[in-house]
Amino acid sequence: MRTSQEMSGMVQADSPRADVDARYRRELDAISRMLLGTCVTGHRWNRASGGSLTFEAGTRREDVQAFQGDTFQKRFDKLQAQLEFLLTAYPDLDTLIEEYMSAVLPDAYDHCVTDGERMLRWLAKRDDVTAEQHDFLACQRARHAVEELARAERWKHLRFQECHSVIATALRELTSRSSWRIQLNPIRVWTTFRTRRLVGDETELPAHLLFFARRDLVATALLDLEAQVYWNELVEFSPCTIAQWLELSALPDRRRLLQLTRQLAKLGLIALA
Amino acid sequence: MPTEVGYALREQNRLIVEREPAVTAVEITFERADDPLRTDCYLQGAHVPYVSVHALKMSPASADPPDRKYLDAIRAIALENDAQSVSDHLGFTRSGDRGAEMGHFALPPLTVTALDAVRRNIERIQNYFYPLHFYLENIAYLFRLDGTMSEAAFLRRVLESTGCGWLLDVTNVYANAVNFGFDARQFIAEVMPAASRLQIHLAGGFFDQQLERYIDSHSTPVPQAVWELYQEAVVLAGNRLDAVFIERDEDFPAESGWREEVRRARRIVNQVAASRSPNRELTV
Repeated sequence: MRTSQEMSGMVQADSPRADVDARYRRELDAISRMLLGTCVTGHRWNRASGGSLTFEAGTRREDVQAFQGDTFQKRFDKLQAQLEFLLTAYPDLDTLIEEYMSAVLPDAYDHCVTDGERMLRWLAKRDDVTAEQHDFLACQRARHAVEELARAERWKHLRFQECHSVIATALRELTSRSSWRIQLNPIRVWTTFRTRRLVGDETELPAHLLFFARRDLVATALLDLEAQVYWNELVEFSPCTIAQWLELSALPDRRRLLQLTRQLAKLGLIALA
Repeated sequence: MPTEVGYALREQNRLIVEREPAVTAVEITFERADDPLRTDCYLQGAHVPYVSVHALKMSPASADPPDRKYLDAIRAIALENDAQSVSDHLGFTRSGDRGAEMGHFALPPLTVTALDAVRRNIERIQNYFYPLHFYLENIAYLFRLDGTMSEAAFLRRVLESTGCGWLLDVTNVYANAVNFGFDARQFIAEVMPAASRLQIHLAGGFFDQQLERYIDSHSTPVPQAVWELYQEAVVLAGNRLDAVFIERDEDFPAESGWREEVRRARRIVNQVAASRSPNRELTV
């Protein structure tokens, strides 16, 4: 039995216009790939034809190469700027970017983050990744994940940040008003570091870090064990008021809990509404 | 509606946008404004009467329609900044939905098949963004694919059949005319009757001696030859000209340079409008 999508595909394949569209798509695809790929391999410009599609008579090789060079350079510059953080762990980053670009073509609608993210995955799959390099990759990937989450949940991000913008006022009333509703920052991602290279000498390993959006930036928090227990409770009970949470919490010290609330609020991980 | 004049917004001209009285329009480049963590609108409260969002990857000449998520993101920026219009280029940056993304647009083959694809995509784009107006920009290119009609004829047919606006990039016409040996004035005059409404782009590039091509690099002041073409285009456009944007992406000028160009662009618009006024005294 065919799915409706397959059926629709068959109908399209039978239509003369669909044939024309399919041929046009194949032609553009061939020329797109040629225009993307040639600047890396440097020898295929005259294979422009993806069927009947060819360059206009008299087209100069150097003009096509100028387009290719420009396209290549723009992608290279974006990746270089986006992944600059990796330079400490990967001194040969420029060479790796070129290697990646020749191995992986950007997908349709690829933007800076998705191309960079794909390069990070490509780097992570290499056999020779050290523990330190792993941490650099994990750090950059967590940043990307926060950005992508904010893209997907933009209104939640804006609502939370708006709510958090009055946190100073809310915290002044923290002890006197238990009806405050605790809101967790929805744009957050956990990651794990294997070394102390990015987190300091005293940190227990493996280190679990929380990356999150703080207004227009990505911020990081390394929660100690006590704060992690507290945080996990909030994740479980949220959304809840301070009063509800104090009642549900397994943690005994009310004063300490309010102190932790204050700290997490100041970090930008929770807001009070 | 009066013609509004301003810049393609860059960090380097934000202050001028807020302070220069000649600036009444800005163009937001979608790819610059598309920061998912951004918590305030891209214009940051600047009051500008006319705002347009300029996109780079709708790829109207692709075989497939633009991705809904991409359009949603453009519309979000347009709504957040009270934009009146949206624009993109007559070109393809990818073959279709699953194709490779070039990141930069190329002129499609000027054929009936491509024309059909462009028409369908623009109709979808216009339906999606309604009531915002959509403008299609003519691009600068270094090569052309084999086709069956001229670029002017292709563009004219697209504008006639879709009713979309024409974002006339005067510098792109100038660059292509220099590089491919055609008459820029004739090109503009040939396409102009088909445009229901217009925006104009102005920029400056340079002649690459090694490549022997004029490069539209947005890195120099608008050249005299482009100002002259612009003036003629403003005359031909008549009251269909909605906005003029000056683009600059490299070697940014000092404040006086920014102000000088936008004032000149406005002066020309005003002079042409005044010359059309019925009360104008005739000079012989």
